[in-house]
Amino acid sequence: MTQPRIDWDALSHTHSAPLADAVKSLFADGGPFEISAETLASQTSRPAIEAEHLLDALCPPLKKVPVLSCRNCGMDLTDDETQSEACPNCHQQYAEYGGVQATDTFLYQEARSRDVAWVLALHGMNTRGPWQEEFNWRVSTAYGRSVPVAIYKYGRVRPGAIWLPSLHHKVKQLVTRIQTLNGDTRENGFDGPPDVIAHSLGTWLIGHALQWNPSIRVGRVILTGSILRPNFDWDQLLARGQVEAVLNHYGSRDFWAGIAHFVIPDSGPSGRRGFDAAADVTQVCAEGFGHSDFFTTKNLKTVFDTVWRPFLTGQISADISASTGSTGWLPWPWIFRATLVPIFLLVIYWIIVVTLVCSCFFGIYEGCRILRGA
Amino acid sequence: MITPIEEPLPAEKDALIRLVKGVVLAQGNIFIKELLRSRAIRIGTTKAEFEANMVDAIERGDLRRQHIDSWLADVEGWGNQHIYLFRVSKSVRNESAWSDPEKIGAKIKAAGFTREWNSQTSLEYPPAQTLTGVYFENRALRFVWHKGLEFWVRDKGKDYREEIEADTYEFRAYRMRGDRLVTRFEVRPFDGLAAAFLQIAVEEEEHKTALEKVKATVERLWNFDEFEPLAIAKAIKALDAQALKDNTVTAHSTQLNHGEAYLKFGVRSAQSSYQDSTPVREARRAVRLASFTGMHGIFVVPTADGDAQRKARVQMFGGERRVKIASQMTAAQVWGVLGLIAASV
Repeated sequence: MTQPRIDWDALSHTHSAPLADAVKSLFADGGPFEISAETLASQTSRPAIEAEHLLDALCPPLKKVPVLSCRNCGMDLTDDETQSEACPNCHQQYAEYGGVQATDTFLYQEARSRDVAWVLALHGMNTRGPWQEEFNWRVSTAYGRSVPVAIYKYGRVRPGAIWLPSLHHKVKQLVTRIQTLNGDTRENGFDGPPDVIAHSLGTWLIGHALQWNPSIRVGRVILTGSILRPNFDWDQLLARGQVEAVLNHYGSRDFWAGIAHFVIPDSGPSGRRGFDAAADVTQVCAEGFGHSDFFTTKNLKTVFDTVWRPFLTGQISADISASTGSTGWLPWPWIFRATLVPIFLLVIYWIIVVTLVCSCFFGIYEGCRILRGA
Repeated sequence: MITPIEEPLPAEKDALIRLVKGVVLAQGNIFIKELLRSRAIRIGTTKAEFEANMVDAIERGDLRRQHIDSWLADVEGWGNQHIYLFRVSKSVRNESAWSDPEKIGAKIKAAGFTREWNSQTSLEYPPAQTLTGVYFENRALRFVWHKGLEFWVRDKGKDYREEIEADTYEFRAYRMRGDRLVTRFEVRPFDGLAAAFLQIAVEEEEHKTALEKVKATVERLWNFDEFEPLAIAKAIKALDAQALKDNTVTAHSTQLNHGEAYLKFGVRSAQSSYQDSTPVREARRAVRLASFTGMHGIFVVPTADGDAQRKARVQMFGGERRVKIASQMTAAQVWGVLGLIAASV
């Protein structure tokens, strides 16, 4: 869904600028609308005839259509109702008052913009995601209503991130949390699955949660600093209706996403190079952005207003969505991937732990011996 | 076996022509065209042409009483009406008589409706609301009342002015056309639904009287408490919420009450949805329906019966548990709309 290209500056010169501004704001709200010259003019001090000239100049994309109404009671009528002899509201015959009245209105026909029901925010590893609070504020103030943001905190994950059973456990916890939240939101009238914004390890968790539990459904998914494999099978999730659409907002200087697949099982650098072009994913490259640059105070408002919000409401512009993914990703040989490295790191981890425990034990033992000798 | 086509008697022709000039012409143009098309009669574009073509067809014997009877049963008094929808109690639904038309007939006759049971379609214009027939067809029990009506059609061509005692008078002409108001009560035990259909304007005292008459008639067979009024207020909220989810129903306007305080969403054009406007839809989504009563709603709904293009505007009044359909429709289309409403609750 894209907004039509209209030269508003030129229109403001050839027509009344306040009228042009009023129409421009209607387009900016997104979705279809209809407006008559009288209603448009009422927002300014200009006469209706000027508003009509402006609306005529905007055809297309606007379309001029007649609105039929009863001349007696003024009720607007459907085509079907004009087939009767009398008005269904006042029961007076149309012929008595010179037939049905037709006045012009201007329609902008487009698919409705999309509504965000509620949002699930997932942070990355080694952090508790302070950006989530700032993101929550952005969402809360972006819409003319309450859009709940569920901030899912799974704690700091350091060594656990390289150990698959630990990640599986986190995925199970996430699935349970989504199911619980789905029930809560439905009970409170926030109908529909959540849209998801995930960062770093959060992208890994949501991707795998969806793959492992086909009953989980989400709306639109925004990935930042993604560490999913670039050939991750989004198409399967989209085809199964588990995901409505995916936006991968990746940073060209994302170091951590670039090396994730050396240490985290079943991961890859999609947060640095994008997903493979074959995947039906909207790819947007943030030039010069590192792993967490999306969430700085300076950048968050801009990326939310220009990329994330339009994506969530279905009005992403042609300029943004034109970005395409990279060519096929070739993973490193298995020996360099998160296969031996985690085991190696785990062995070192346990050597250190055992050494420390032994040191303590011998230290206590030696201490006791010295005391006894003294 | 081939049955020879009998020529219509002159009396039947005269009765049919009277019927055509009155009740038949009072129906919507699309339905008259459908009747003519189904009998391969030349159609025309205006009511005057329809009338002339139908009279010719009656004279030739191409249009007979049985054709008009079945067409009228499906068209006359359907749509352009107020509807009170009920759920049928389990005890009524489970009556064994429903599976045997003869048992139903016996029950109806025992209630004193021997003359009305399966009577031929009435061609009368009774001055007061009169029960003219009780039928059990297509698994539905139907009570039909008729009331004659003088419908005055403006005819400017007959206007004239006259000087009377030095003053100018203008005489505006209206041509009288016989019309009828139809009231029905229909029980559909297999769908668990019943409905009273009234064409009398709700503002008139007669509307209330007619509804009482319907109840009194039905009570000769069952206690009317066996028919529980459908909570239209809930249906208004359900249809409004459904319109937010998909495009099967269009929410033209919705009024939600919290006590006597209310908020109203709406759009000007009759067939548009207020939910198309992003800011208005945002405001609607901010409303927690659980706190409100659906007091009034206007929805544009598809009519069933295979006519996917045709959409009808349905007004729903939560406080009065009443539905109003503004367009003329067929029986199947009206029941399609009512089924949609009942399923939403």
